[in-house]
Amino acid sequence: MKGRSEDKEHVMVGHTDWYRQAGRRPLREEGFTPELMQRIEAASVSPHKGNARFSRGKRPVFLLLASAFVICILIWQAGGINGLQTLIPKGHPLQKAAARPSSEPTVEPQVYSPPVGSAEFEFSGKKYYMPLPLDRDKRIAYAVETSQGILWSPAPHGVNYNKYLFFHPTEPRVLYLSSKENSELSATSATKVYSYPLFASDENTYNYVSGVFGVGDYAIVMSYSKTVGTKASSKQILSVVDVRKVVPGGTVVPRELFTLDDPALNVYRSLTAIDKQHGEFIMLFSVADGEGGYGYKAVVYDFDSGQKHELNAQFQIQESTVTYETDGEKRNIEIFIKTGEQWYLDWMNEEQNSR
Amino acid sequence: MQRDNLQFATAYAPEMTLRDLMEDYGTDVWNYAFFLTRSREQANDISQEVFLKAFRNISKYRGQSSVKTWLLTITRNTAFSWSKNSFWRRFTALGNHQGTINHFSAEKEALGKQYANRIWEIIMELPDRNREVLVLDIQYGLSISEMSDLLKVVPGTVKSRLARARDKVRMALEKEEKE
Repeated sequence: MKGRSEDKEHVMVGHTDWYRQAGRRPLREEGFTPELMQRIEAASVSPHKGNARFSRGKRPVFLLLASAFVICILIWQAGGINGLQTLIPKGHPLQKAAARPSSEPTVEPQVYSPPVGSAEFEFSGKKYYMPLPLDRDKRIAYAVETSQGILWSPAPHGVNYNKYLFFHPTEPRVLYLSSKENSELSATSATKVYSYPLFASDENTYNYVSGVFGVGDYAIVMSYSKTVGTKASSKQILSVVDVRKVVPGGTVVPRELFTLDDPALNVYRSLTAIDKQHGEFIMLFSVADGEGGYGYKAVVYDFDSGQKHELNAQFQIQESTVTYETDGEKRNIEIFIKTGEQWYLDWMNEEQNSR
Repeated sequence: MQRDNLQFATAYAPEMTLRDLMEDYGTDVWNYAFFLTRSREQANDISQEVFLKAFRNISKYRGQSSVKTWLLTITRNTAFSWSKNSFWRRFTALGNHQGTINHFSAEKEALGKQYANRIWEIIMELPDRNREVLVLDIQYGLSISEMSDLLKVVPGTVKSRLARARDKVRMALEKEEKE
């Protein structure tokens, strides 16, 4: 038996300030919560529940084998597959099904049963799933609703997942468009929209897609590139895909709208917003008014034309929306990204106060 | 209060209820699972697995180690068997838009929210082997011998991993101070 008193070798405790500091509570939030405790107690009630993850797959396999065995016995006793027909009463639905030509497509109600590892989404009250191999990170699988269907992109295979600097994909990022009717987001039933090149500039620099957003007839794609082994990535590029132009066998290259590299976007409470109804992207730059305050200067990008123009209006910012009036019309649009530094400082203050 | 005195634990452990175990060691198990996986979701699932396993086998506890190190051993084995099919990628969803967005500043922000100070951010960026020994030392106060048993490596290896881990954190802090 080896106890702590037997050969206790404290290592550097008190030797340096950082070691002492690190000995404090390392996490802001309690991880082992009363809710988790209740969940575990509930799982302990059924002796098999806790191991459901491991045993769940065995029961269907057993039932399948048992069913196959019974069917084989029936066929054997009836003298082959034709004889099986005699075992089924005339007029029984199974008779018709068995008599149907094999080339006739079967009409089955679509069942929502995502395989293990699937990324799941919900749009307009309907659930969708994207089957993924277990070695994919489903958090970087994207799907958005557009006027023409669900635009989605599976998480590409990658390597070095737990080495941030050295992670990179090993296959290109692909965008697909699926019908809203299909619960399963699968490449076999979808139209391929575009495949990003795996490499950006050289064999060590890869393209990444960091977000996809649905805006009616458009999907906005955020992308960047990064060189393996470096911390810095390129600036985020916002591109637009007009989903009305997606046709089987064709390619719709995302049209670059702009790069998020304007330093003015970092000023105070600058932000970007999307007007879904009018198909516009708006950049709101905080501008010092010379009296210690800030006003806004707005630039509008039109998705259809790709053109930009300045907009003079009074803007009111709420938590997630921007309200303004133009040409006598009051518009309320959704904030896309809060880019100004003051937003970050506000968040930091909130965090400090909540500690 | 944790019942870590070995004699007491050996006598008491077989009588412990699941709730006793969780109240005494829940935070230890969850935190260790989190330090290993860097994922709250996985730490929750692993904690569940560990306590269910431990509770079913509590009568077999013979007191070769403290209850805490016994649970940490189960936690480690569970986490490693799970890691074969999972990845510890650190991406974070932002905003309430349709779809999700991941970018590096957001990732950093989310991680910053997770840990109480910059030292822990640095510790969590260490390679798995170095991170684990440092966590076992700082957070759990295990002796070299206990770590050696838990990690199934010789004491000399524990010492060298600790030394390397400490050096890396110290150098990272010094570098940041200079910047």
